[in-house]
Amino acid sequence: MRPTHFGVKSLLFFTAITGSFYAAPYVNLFFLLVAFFAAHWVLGAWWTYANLRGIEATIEDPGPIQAGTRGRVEWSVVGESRRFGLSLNLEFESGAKGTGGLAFTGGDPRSALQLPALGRGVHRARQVTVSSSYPFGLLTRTVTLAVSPVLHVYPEPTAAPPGRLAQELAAADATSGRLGAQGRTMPAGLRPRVEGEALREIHWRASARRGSLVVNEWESDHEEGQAVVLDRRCEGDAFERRLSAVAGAVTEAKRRGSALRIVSQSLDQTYTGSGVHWDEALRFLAEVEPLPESAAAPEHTSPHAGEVRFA
Amino acid sequence: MRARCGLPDSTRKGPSALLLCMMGIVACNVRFVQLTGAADPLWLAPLYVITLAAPFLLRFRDSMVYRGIWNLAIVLFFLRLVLHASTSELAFVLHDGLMLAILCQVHVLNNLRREQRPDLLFINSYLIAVITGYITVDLSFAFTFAIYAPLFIVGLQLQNLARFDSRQRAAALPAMGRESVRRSAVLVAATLLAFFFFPRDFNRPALFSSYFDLEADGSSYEVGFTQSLDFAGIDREAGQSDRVVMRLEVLEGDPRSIPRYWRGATLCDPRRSGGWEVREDALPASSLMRDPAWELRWQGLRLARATDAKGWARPDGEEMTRVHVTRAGGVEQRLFLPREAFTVDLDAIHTEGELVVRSDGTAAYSNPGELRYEVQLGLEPREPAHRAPGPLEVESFVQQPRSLFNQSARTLARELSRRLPDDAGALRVTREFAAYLASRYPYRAPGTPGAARTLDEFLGTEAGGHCELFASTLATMLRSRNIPARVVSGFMLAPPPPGERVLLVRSRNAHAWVEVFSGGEGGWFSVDPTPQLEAGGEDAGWMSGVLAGLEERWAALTRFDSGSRARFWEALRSLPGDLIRRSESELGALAGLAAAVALLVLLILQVRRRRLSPPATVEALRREFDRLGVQLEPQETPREGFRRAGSGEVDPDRLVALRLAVEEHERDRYASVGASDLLP
Repeated sequence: MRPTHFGVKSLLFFTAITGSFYAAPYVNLFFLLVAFFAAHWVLGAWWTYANLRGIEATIEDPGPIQAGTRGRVEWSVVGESRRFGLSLNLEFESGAKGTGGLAFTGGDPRSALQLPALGRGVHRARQVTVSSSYPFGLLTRTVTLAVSPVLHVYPEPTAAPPGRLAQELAAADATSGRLGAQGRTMPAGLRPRVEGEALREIHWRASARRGSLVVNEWESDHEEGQAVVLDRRCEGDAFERRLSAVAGAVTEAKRRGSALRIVSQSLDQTYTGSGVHWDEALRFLAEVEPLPESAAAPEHTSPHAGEVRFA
Repeated sequence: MRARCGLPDSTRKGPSALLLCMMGIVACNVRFVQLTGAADPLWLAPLYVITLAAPFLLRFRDSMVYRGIWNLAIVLFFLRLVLHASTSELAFVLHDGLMLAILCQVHVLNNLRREQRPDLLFINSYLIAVITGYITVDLSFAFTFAIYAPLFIVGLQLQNLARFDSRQRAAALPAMGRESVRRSAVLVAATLLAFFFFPRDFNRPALFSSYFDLEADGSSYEVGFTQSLDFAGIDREAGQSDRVVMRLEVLEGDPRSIPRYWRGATLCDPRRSGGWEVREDALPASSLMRDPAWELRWQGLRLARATDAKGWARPDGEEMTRVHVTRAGGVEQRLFLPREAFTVDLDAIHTEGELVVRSDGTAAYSNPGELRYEVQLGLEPREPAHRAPGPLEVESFVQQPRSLFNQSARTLARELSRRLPDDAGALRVTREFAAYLASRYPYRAPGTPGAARTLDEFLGTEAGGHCELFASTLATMLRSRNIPARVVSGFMLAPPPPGERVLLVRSRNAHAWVEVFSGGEGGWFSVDPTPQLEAGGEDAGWMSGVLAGLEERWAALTRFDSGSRARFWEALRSLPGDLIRRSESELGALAGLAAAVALLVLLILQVRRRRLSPPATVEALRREFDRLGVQLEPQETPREGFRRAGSGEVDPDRLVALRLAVEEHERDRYASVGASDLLP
């Protein structure tokens, strides 16, 4: 525990009135006032300590976060103890820091932590601490939590996918004739919900009938409509631009509800309309590293009308 | 979330909880200052108003003009303090300092910026509490502090939560309020424990006593008692304050035999305005005009009658009366004593100040803090010896300036003297004059609208006046007839209620009367020309009884010393024995008490258990799962658990019981649910 700015001022004041108490003749009321102030310090220190005693917190996986934006992470305090005035501090290995506050855990013990704008990559937390100076703000206690969240930050998508890709995607959709009224493909059936899928995907009426959560399955989820090929054999800005373009393709495909096949060195995966799969694509873009020029080109054995090559 | 934030903005619903809390703290601070009597209530009234208007005034905090006015007011007040310190007695520094502190406090409240933390307000508030607490022993201080302390605790917590957004603060507020009550109680308990058990020297002298030697030479600190009378425009309303200035505890003797008149100062020198003031060189050339029976001498911490105090006797046995006096701190360093005082013993804690004894029998102690002393009363001489002062000695007590303000008094004295025989002595003349004044002129409390403010107005109209006007008129009249007289300023006690051994003397009990010298009476005697004056007896009724009880307990706390601690320890040690003894004699009462305590404990435990334990439907659910030997997984709902249990080989009856429990639980927690939905 360490004193806060207010604590330092209060301590100086306490020293002054204690000095005055001894400098003046003894008076009971003066002693009572000094004792009250001393008690408020001692008990304040104990209550600050107790406020964080045995605290445990969980940090939810926020999914991939777009580079250059300030993401939010949901965190919550575990247990039934009522705690006040908590601040969660997240420090990444890159030196970036995020903070979030929770005034009271009695009602809803969850809160959001504001993240700093991070660059593309996988960011591991070096230290996660929770601190509090409650109740009197004299001392701050900081406790290190046994959690180590990992954040996947995917590259900032280009504003729109490359013109050629957009045209290809539109053409593919038009020829297939399966676009729904809102630009989505038609539902092909129902399947059990997978943990992590968005709530809006749930078919509530069917879930109620079946007693378990089910989600819509779209026809486009099965198809291998469009494909992008990512050649990782480059460095620096060129590589990041390629990744941004792929990210743009992913977000566009996700928006349209189309499928997207990504082909790269050591990867050939088709991503479909459910959120988990798109998150995997974005995680790949967050994790992926450039390869030397001597590396092999990406294998692409099944060319498609919607193919776009990023090389 | 704002990283650092001071005062949260007020919402449409009104001022924020923190602002309300700080307003309460500042209002308590103003009240603290008011209790010291350091400032006229008229000065403090605007500060109360501005404090309560803070939610409105804060909207101007960014205005340069608004801030400029505030800063100008502070600077002007500071200049006033410097001016006072350089031109007047040092005692004014305390008054001005307190006023400046409270003005700064109100200033901080009304100028707090959005990004500013109110640290200063909290620290300054406690500083004001400490300073005012040092010079106040009044129960009102305890009342005000009882309001201030929870506000201080809650305020610190609200300040701590100020950095969170309003939604989170609102969610935390009810729980924080409940926590604050608990924390305040624990804090007070811890303080009292420290008070009773922390080892300390109750007689400890001041470390730097010389720096606290604020001997004031005739300062006129207005707490009712005054060392100078001036009718030229002085507002005496402060004399009506309920501030307790003295607490008298009759240690021995009959409380109803306590003298009513307690002298503080004699005012010998008349002013041209008709008022009076203390004569600093109070020793006349000859000792004849001094009252030998009233002379005190200093023996360490004891004042005692001089050995030549002829006729005075120290009573013994049942006639002995001893009174312990606790005088509130302040700057009127006088010891208030009755003429009948025989010995005065200062408490052992007073070792650092200087005791000054004046020839008029008054005494002063240089340390302005709380003063405690014990007075033993003596018996006045039954047949005082005749004393004949010389003309020069008489002259110093019959002087009065030729002034328009006392013309009427001289004329009245001349007229009344014509009704008396030529050989009427001082005693007869005095009684005639006093009786005339008491019967002819009505008494009006200080500050009463329309009351006289000068001697001429008092004597020439039916306006009436207060004790200072009566006393000044009589002294002026007597002096005009060449009879030595002086005005005495002090306190007049109300008769104590039957059985009451503690008397509280309030500021409004301040009184002025006259002492007249008569050779035939053996010296000075007292006369009170003020009619029908009751010195403010305590109101009867249950409220006064409750207040008296609280005063008594508060006084026991403020007068707690090593003797009190020893008695406290003794009481604690003897408590088990006392309980056993009482259990033998009052078995029924003790059993009843024990049963009541047990009932209360059970009730508390029951409430706690009900608060901590889950609802009955959850308990039933757990019980049924336990019977089936199935444990709910993390994040698994009871319904899912029920399905999982149903998929295995289980007793159908128990499965039905579990189904009912799940239904009951869901009905209790969410809404009704069809039983068929639960069938696997």
